[in-house]
This record gives sequence, structure tokens and C-alpha cells, in this order.
Amino acid sequence: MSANKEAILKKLAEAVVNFDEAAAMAAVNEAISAQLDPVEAITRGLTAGIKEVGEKFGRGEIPLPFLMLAAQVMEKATNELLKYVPEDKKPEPLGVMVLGTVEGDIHNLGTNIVTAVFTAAGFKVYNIGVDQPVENFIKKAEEVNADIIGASALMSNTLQQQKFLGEALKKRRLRNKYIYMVGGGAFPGEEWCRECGADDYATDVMIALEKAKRLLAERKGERKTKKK
Amino acid sequence: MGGPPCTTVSTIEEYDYVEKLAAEVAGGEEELRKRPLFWTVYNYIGTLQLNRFNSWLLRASMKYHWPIMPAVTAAAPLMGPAMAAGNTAISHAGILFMTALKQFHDPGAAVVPNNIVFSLDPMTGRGGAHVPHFMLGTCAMNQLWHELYGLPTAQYGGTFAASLDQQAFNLARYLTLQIISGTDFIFEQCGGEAFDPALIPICAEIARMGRSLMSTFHQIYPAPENLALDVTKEVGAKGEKWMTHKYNLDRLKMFPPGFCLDTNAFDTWLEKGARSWVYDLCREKLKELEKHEPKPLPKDVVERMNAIVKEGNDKLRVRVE
Repeated sequence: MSANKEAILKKLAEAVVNFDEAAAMAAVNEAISAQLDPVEAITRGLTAGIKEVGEKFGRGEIPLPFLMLAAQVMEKATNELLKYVPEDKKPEPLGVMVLGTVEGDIHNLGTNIVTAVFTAAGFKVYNIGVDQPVENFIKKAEEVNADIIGASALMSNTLQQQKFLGEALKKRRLRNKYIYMVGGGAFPGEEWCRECGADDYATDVMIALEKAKRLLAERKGERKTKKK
Repeated sequence: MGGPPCTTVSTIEEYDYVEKLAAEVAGGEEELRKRPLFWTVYNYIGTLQLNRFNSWLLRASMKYHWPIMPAVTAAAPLMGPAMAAGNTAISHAGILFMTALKQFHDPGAAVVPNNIVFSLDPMTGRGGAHVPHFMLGTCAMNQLWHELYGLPTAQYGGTFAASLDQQAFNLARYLTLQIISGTDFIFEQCGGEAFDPALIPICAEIARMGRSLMSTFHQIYPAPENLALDVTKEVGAKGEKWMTHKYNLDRLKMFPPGFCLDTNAFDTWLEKGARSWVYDLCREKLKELEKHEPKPLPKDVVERMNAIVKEGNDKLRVRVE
């Protein structure tokens, strides 16, 4: 059983690495037939695969479309495995993120990449789409009890909207409730991040993921300290 | 000036203030109209998508009858076809559409297609107009507009990089291609996220090369004067006389010195400090530019401009709820 289990986990990981949807679904079926713990199949199988893909992308070994394909395979296989997990035993997402492109801007390449990669990494991402007014980010974050709000802007003349979102959060006394991250293809850097009142920024999806994980861990640490 | 007027998603009113400011700087509306100004309307997202800013920009160009340079292209290979032919077809259709729209609402206004067939770097998702086979698409667009419609074309080149040396590299190769493919209007755009003042001398150097190249096209045609058969016969096989021959002396201006290039031999270059072009020589050239003091705008003009900005800010400023 153990050798078989390891073999199935390896197949799951390899299917993600090779962005092979058919192989992934076959490995999922095999895992179910062999009565593997679906959560373990996700965490030790699929996640190991997406981690490897992420590392390859980070090293510049594979182009973006393959990262997206791997993330799609991961999502599909994960959803299938989760069908076999009872509601009360379903793993909590790493974090809940509301993500969108700010008002006036209809570029969605970056937010689609972030959605795919963050979802594959275990986040629950609510991508609210492009051309979204400040109000919609806040409304959705309140509705889904988000941990993170992410605002993307590609054009220099829409960057201002990231600042308005930061100001709106502050004005409504919601700023400390959420981790606020900003980014986009033409993001000017640290100084603008401070100007927006954001917690952090990124122009690269893998860096964004690392930062989001760090910020979440810090926040959880803060909550624990407060409870004590 | 109290910072730039900032609005949320732009309106036609924003351009009313832009127009007023421009007229103040130019010395009045009449003077402004004498200037060869074009508004560029970019659309590099996907097939026939136009963001709201550019939509207002286009509408404002109609209201004020400004000529435009539309650029429509899909960001391949992530948001458009990977082959240059396919993306060229999309770019061509997009520019025709924008030209038709402009002519319908603002008949007779000049439209110069800003021919670019755009691509992204699939490793990073960032702009990568340097992709070789897409450069052919850009050339094809020029040929299409020149030969099919007999119309002039425009093109822009971007830096598409963060490091200064790579920006210079991208600018130089893009400009060379634009000139060789016969672009009529060329302008260079420096990446806002990585602007270094040294790009000013870098661009000056590249523009000097471009101007020289454009002004010497005629000499490649195999006409008798260009072939210099008689002079070759006169000079003979050894060629020593070429250096001082009137034929060459008269044409030495076609060999312009660099703006701030270092053409020393390797050992001399080492001895003189092994300075790089972009990081050392171009920055050094900036010192000359720093001595330049632009003529200040008259006080009353500045006052009127401040009043326009204040009015625009008060009226259009975003109020965060």
C-alpha cells in the first residue's frame, strides 16, 4: 500500500509538472480507488508538483503559459479530490484574497496569472475582474471576509486608484482588517507602495506569493500575541 | 503647481483643461494650432479593446480636431496570435477601425497609423517588442500602409527593460529597424518605471545615428555617382589616394562622430578607466545638460496655468468616501 501510495503521489506531482490534465485526472481516480486520503493527495502530491513548477518559473526555466497550464491542472485535480472530503474536514484555504484591476484599467493578464498561481498555492481567490471601482473591492472583501485585498494597475494614469483604495480603507477604519497588496506591470516601486498605504507590492507573481504568505504569517502571529 | 490634476477615470472635461494649459504654454490657441501635434491613442490589450482613458482621449481629439496616431495591437503570445502575420492582421484591422471612427466623427482630421505589432515576453509577461519575428510584422505594417494606401506611418520604440544598458540596446535596435523599414514619424518611449536621466544622452546618440542613416539612404542606389567607378579607376588598386580625394572629402559628413561614444582601442580604453558608455559616458554628458537653463515662462503665464490647474483640481479631484 505504502509503495503504491508513494507512486500515486508521484504521478499526481508529475502530472502537474507536465501540465498533463489527462494524467492528473487518471492519477486522481487512482488515488480515490486506492482510498488515499484526498487531502494528502493534494498536499503531498499536487502541491509538490506546483511547487516544482513555481521554482522552475522563478529560475526562468519555463515561460508563463506553462505555469498557467500547471495551475489549471492543479485546480481541476484539487476540485475533483475535494469532492471526496467531508465538508467539516475540507482544508482551510491558506488565505482568502479579493483581487481585481482598478477602475479605468482593463488589463487582466496580471490578475489572471495571480489568480491561477495563488489558487494553486492554496489560496481562495475572488477575482472581481477589470475596471473595478474602489467600492467593489471593499464590498467583496467584507462579503467574503477576506484576508488580503489585491489591486492591480498597469497604466501610470490608473495607479492613483490604488492610492484611493488605501485611503478609502483607512477612512472607513478597515485598513487594519485587511492585508493590502498592490502591483501591476508598470508599478513604480516601494515609494508608491507607501504612498498607497499598502502593506507590500510585487510585479512578479512568485514574489507576490511569497510576500502574501509572509504577511499572512505575520498577521497570524500578531493575532496569537494579542490573544495571549 | 500643486501636483498633477488627477481624476478617477477621465472625462471629456479633463481634456478641456489639457487644451487650456497647452494653449497657455504655446502663447494662445492660434499658436498652439501651428504646432505639429499628434495625440497617440494606444491600445495594446487584445483585439479591438479600448480602455476608458483612451476612449476619452479619442473623443477629445474629435472635439478639438487634433490629429491622432492610433496604435492597435494584441499582446501576443499571451493575448494574441503567436505568429506575426496574425497579429499584423489584427493591428491593421484595429487601425482601420479607429481611422474610420475618427473620420466619421471628425471628417478630414489627419490620422497617421502608429504601426506596431506588439508582443510580450512569455517568460515574464512584460512588454517585449524586441521579439525578432514580430519586428517583421512591424515592417510589414509599414509596407502595407505605404504601398496599399500611400500614407505615412508612425512607430514608437520602447525601452522594455529595467537596466540602462538593456534599455539602450532595445532602443538602438528598434530605431534602426524603424528607419530601415521607412517609418515617417519615429518617437521613443522610455520606461517610466526605470527612467534614468542618462537616457537623454543615450537617446541623443541613437537619434543622431538615426538621423544620419535617414539622410544617407540615397547613396546605396547603384547610380554612377554612388558607385564612383571613374574615381576608382583614377585612384587605382592600391587605394592610398582615397583618404584625401575630393570625392571622399566632400562626403565626410556622412561619417558623423558619436555624441559621446568611446572609440578608443582596448588598451587605451583600459588605461583611461575602462568606462562604460551608458553608466559612465552618458552620465558624464549630463553635466553639460545641467548647465542649460531653460527660459522661464513669463510670470503671468505661470499664474494663469496655476489657476487652470487649481480650477481643474477643484472640479475633477477624486473625493474618497
